[in-house]
Amino acid sequence: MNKLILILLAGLILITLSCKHRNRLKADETFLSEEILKEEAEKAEASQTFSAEVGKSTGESFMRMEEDRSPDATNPPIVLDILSGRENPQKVKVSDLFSEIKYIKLEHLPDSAFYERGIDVLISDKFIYGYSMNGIAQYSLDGYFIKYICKNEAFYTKMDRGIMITSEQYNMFIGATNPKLKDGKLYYKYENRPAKSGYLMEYDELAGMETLSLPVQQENSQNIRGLGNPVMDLLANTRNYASNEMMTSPTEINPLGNGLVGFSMRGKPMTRQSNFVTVTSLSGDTVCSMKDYDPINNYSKSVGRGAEDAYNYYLDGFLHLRQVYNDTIYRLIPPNQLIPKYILDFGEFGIESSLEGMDPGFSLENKFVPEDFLETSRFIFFTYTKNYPCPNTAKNGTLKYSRLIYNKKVRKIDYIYVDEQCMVTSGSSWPSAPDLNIENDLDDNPFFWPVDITSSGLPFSAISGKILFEKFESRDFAGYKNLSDKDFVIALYK
Amino acid sequence: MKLTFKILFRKLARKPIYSAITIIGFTFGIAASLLIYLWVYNELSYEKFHPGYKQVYRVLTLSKQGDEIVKSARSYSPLANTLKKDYPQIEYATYLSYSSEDSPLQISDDADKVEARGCWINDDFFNVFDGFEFLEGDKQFVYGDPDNIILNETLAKKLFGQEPALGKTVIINKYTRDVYKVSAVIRIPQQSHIGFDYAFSDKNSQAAAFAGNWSISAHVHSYIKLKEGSEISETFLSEITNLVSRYTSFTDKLVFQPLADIHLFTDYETLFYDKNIGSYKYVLIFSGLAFLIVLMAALNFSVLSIARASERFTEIGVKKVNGAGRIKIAAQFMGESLLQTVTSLVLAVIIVLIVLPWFNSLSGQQLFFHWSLPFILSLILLTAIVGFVAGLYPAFFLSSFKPSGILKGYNPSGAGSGFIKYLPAVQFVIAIFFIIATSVFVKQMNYIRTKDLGFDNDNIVVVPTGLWYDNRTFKEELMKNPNILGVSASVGAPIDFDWHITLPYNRNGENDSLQASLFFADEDFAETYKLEIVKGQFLQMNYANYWEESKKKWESRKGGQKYSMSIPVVINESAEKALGLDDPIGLRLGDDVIVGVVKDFHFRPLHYPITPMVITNNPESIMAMNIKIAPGNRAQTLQFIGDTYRKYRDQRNFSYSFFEDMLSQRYDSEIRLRNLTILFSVLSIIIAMLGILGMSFFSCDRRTKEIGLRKVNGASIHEVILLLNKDFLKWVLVAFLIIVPLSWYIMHNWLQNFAYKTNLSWWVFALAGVLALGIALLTVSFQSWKAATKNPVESLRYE
Repeated sequence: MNKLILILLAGLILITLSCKHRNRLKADETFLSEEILKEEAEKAEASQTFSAEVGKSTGESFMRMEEDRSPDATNPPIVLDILSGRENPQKVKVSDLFSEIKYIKLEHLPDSAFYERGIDVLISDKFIYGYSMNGIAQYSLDGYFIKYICKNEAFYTKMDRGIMITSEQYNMFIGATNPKLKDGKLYYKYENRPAKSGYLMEYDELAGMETLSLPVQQENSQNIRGLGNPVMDLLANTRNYASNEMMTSPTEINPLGNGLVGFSMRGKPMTRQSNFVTVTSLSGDTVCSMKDYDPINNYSKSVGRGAEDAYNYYLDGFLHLRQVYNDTIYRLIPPNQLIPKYILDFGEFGIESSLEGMDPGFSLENKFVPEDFLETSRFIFFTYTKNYPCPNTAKNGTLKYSRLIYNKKVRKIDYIYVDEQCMVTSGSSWPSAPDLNIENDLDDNPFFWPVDITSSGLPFSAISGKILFEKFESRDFAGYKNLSDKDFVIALYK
Repeated sequence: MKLTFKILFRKLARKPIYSAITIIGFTFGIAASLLIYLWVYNELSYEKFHPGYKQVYRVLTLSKQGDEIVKSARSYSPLANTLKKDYPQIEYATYLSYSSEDSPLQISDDADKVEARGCWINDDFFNVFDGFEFLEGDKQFVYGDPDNIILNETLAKKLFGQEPALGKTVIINKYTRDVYKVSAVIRIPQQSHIGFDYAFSDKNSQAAAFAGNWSISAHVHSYIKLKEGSEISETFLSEITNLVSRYTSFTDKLVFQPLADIHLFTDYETLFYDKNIGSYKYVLIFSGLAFLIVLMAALNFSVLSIARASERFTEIGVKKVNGAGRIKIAAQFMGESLLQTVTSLVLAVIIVLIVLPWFNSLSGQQLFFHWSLPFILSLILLTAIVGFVAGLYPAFFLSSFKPSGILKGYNPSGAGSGFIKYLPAVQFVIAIFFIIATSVFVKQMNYIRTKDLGFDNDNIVVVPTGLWYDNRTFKEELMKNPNILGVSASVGAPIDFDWHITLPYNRNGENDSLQASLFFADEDFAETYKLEIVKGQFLQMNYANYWEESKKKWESRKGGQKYSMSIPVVINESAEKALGLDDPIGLRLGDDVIVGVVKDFHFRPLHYPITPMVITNNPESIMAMNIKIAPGNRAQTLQFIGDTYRKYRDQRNFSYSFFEDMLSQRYDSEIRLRNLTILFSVLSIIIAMLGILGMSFFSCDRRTKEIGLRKVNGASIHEVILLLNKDFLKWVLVAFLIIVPLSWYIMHNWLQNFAYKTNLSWWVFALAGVLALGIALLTVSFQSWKAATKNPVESLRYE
C-alpha cells in the first residue's frame, strides 16, 4: 500500500513537471552567461588599453576605442564570385524580382531652377525628399510638394554639357548638402561658407511623438536657414578631429544614432593621409578611428583618375561602407566594429590597390571597376565596368558594362548582361550603363535599374522626362503623358 | 453485477452512518480534487488555443546589467524582422512594441474618453498568434492602411457599446490629434499572456522611426514561429543565439522559450506587459493537495472497510465454501468500492457545478467544465483510480480469510493490521499541515498589510496623468481645498518601481559607479509621503529651474562645450551605504549632485529587499499625481479632484486608485493562495473528522461488551471515556510530532519568496496541535460518552 502511494505521488510529480513543453531551441544559459561576461571583460580591457595608449601619445585621457574589423565567425563575409555566370547572362522578368511597381510623380516645385541639374531622391517611411545643389525639398509619399527643408544659395557657371564652379563660387555657397536618413530623421550638412560655419542638422520628421522634446526656443543666432536643429557644430571643436575634415566636401557625414557620427571619405585623398571612417560624438570627441590600410602616399604626378563611386549606404539602420578600389563592403556597428559583409571577387580582373586604380600609369583596360552596388532587403543590384568609365574610354569603345543581380536568400548570382557597350546621353558626355535584358511583365513601362533604397529597404528609381526621352525616345511613362525634362517619376519596386 | 448491487445497497442501508461517512468523505474528496483538477487543467491550457502554438517561441535576452547576467523579455525593434530575413527556418516573426503609457481614445471629439494601452505589431502578428478570434474584420485586411487600428473586444465595447466597430473612427488626441479607422475587433481569451487594448501596424508613422532602431527597448517583446519540419542544427542555434552581436556592439545573447511555457515557467522580469503569469510551483502544490485530500478519503474507506471486516465474515466464508475464488471475492469488494466512488463522483460533480462560481471568485479564474472527450475520460480515470486505491487493500485483505477460520468464529477485525492503527495519524498529519500552512499564510499576509513601509500611504489617491509637464497650477488649485493635505507629481506611485540606472561618481580620485533605481518626483514628494530626511534636504529644484538648466546645456552643446547640468538628487540610506561615504552630500552622481539622504522606504512589494535609490526631479518623466486627502468627506474630495483635473487636463480621462488598493493588488496571488489553502484546510479537516468519527463509531461498537464489563466492575464514566479517547489521541500526538519539522521546512522555504517575512513562531505549531487535538477530542468524545453512559445491561445483552 505504501509503495503504491509513493508510486502515485511520483507519477503525479512527473506528469506535472512534464507539462513543460519541448524546446527545440533550447540553449545552455549558464554557458551563454559565461560567454557574455567573457566578451564584456575583453571589451573593457581592450578599451582601457587603447585609451591608455592614446592618452600616453596625446597627453589627453578620454574613452577611445580601438577599431575591430574581425569578421563574425558565425556569419562570415559572403564572397560574391563575380566571374561565375558571366558566360551565361539571362533575360530576367520583373515579376521574378518584384510583385508590384508603384509610380509616383513628383509635383513641380515653385522654383523651377531647383531641377536644373537634376535631382536625387531619398525616401523615408513618411516623406520623399528631392535634393540637388539648389537645396532639399520635401514631398508627401504621393508626390505632392510640402515644403523646402533648405533652399541653397549655390553659384555656378553653365556650360554646354554641364556646369563649372570656380573657387570663388565654391566659397560663396550657403545651404544644405549630404542629406541622409536615419531613424526617422533627416540629417544634412548646413554650410555657410562665407561665414565659415557649418552644422550637422537634424530634422525630425516625426515631431509630435509621445515623448516631447524640450520646449526650448528655436536657436536662430547662427542664421541657419534650414529646418531642423543643429546637433553638431562642425567647426567648434577642433581638439580631436580636424575641422576641415568635417567641412571638406568629399567628406561624408553619416549619422550613426546614439549621439555618434561617422565621417568617411567619398573619394581618396592622394596628397595626405586620411582615415577610412572616423566615429565621433556630436561634441566632436573621436570615439574610434578606422584606418585606411590602402593609402596613397607620396603621389607626385599632377593628374590622377577620379575615384570610382564607392557609395556608402544604409540598410537595416546600419551604415555600410566600401573604400574606393577596394573589394570589401563593411557594415559599421558603432562605435568601433567594422564587420566585413561582402567581398567582391573579381579574380584576375580585380584592381590590386587604390594606387593602381587612381594612377593613370596603370591600365585598367582589362580590369573590372565597381560602378553601382545597391543592396536591398532581398537582392544586390550590382553594375561594374571593364575599364575606367569616362568619356575617353566610352569614345574608344573599350568601356564595357556588366550587370548582375544577387539573390540574398538563395545566395545566387544571375547575370543580366555582360560586357555591353555603354550609353552616352545627349545631355552629358559621361557614359552610363544601358538598361537591357530586364522585361517588365508587370506593366507596359520600361524598367529602370534601381538606384537607391527607401528607409525600409525597398529599391526605387527616379526617372526624369529627359532621361526617358534619351533612353527610349518617349515622354510617356507610367500613365503620365508628355513628361518634361523637369518632371520626375519615382518607380518604387515592391 | 446485479448481485453486487443488491449486496451493496443492503450493506449501505444496514449501517447508514458508516455509509454516510464513507460517501460524504469520498464526495468531498472527489469534489475538492475536481475543483483543483479544473484549476490545473486551466493552468496547463494557456496559449494552446493557437493552432500552431508548438512552433511559437518567445525571444528572450540575456544581458549584463551591473555585475549580473539578467534574463528578460526585453527585445529589439528590428529583431523579429531580422530573424525572419536571415533564417529560412523561421516562417514568421513578430513583435509587440508596447506604448509606455495609456492614451485617451474617443469615437468623436466630444465623446467620453477611454484610457487604454496600445502597441505596435508587424504584419506577421496574426500568423504567429493564429488563434485570436476576429469578431469583426478579417486577418488579411487588417493592416492595409497605416492608420488602421485593431481593437480588443473589451475596448470596442467601451467605445461603441453593442454597435459594430468595423470601419468606424477612433480619435486619439493626446499630444497631437490622430484619427484612425477600426480595421478589426479581436477577442483575446484569458488563457493568453498578451493583453493589449489596441494595436497599430508598425507601418504607422509613430512606429516607423523606431522599427529599425537597435537601441535596447524595454517595451518590445519578440516572437518567432518555426516552419513545421524545419531542421534545427547546432550551427543554426549558435547563429541565432549570437545574432545581436552581429548587428550591434552589445554582447547580449538570445534564448527562446516555447509559447506554452510562458504562463507557468516565466522566471524572469516581464515588466507590466504580460498578464496572467502563474507558476508551475502552484500547479504542483495544488496537485499535491488534491492528491492528499483524495488519499484521505480513500484511506477512510479502506480502513473502515477493514475495520468492519467481521460483518462480512459469514458472507465471505459461505462464498468460499461454495467455490468462490479469492480473485472473485476481491473483485466483488473492488466493485463495491468502485460503485461507491461512482456515486460519490456524481454527487461531487453536482456540488462542483453549484460551487464553481464561488470558487472562481475565490481563485480569480474563469473555470468551467469542458465536456470534451479527454475531460470525461479524465473523470472516469480519476474515479477508477480512487475506487481502485480505496478498494484494493480491503479487497485483498478481506478475500484472504480462510473459510475454516471464519466458520470457527475467528475474528481478525482490527487485529494485525497496523495500517488501520496508523489511519488517524496519517489523516491528522495532513490536517495539521493544512492548519499550519493556513496560519502561516494568514500571518504573512497580515504582516505585509501592517508592515511599516517607511512612508505614510494612508489616504493617498494616485491619479495617472500621462506625461504632464505643466502641472503646477493644477497642484496649486488642489491645495486650496482644505481636505487636500498634500500633492506631489511623480513618475508613478512608489509601489512597484524598478527602473535601473548606473551612475558614475568619483570617490577619492577613483572612478566608480552606483547601480540604483531611478525615481522621478517633484519637490513635494517627501512632504506628501512623509519621507524622513536623515541628511541634507529634499529636492529643491522646481521645473522652471529644470528648463533653464536644460536650455543652458543645449546651447553649450551647440557651442561645442559640455555644460554639466546641476540637477539635485536625493538618495536613500541603502544608496548611501553602497557609496561607502560618511557624508555624500555634495557628491556628483553622473551629472547630478546629491543634496539629501532619506530613510529607506519600500518602493517595491515585500518580495524584494530595499535597494539603492536615487530620486530626481525631471518634468519629462512625470506621469502621476499623488494626492494626500483627509480621511473624512472622501466622496466630495474625490469629486473635487476629478473636476479640477478635467479643468486642466481635459484631453485625458480621469481615473484614480487608492494607494492601499494598488498595494493589495501586488499580493493578489498570495491572497488567492491563502484563500484556497483555507478552503482546502477546512475540507481536509472535515475528511479527517469523518475518518476519525467512523473509527470511533466502530471502536465503540466493537468494545460494547468490554465497556459493559468495565462498568459492571466499577469503572467510572470518566475512566471509560478516557480509555476510549486515548487510542485516538495518541495518534494525533504522533502526527503532530511527525509533521511539525516537515511543515517548518516547507513554510520556511515558502517564506523565502519574500524579502520581508513574518517569523515562524512556535505558537503557530502549538496552535495547530491544540486545534487538531481539540477536533479529535470533539469528534470522538461524543461517541465515547454515549458508549460510556450506556446501561451495561444493554451492552452485555447486545453481546
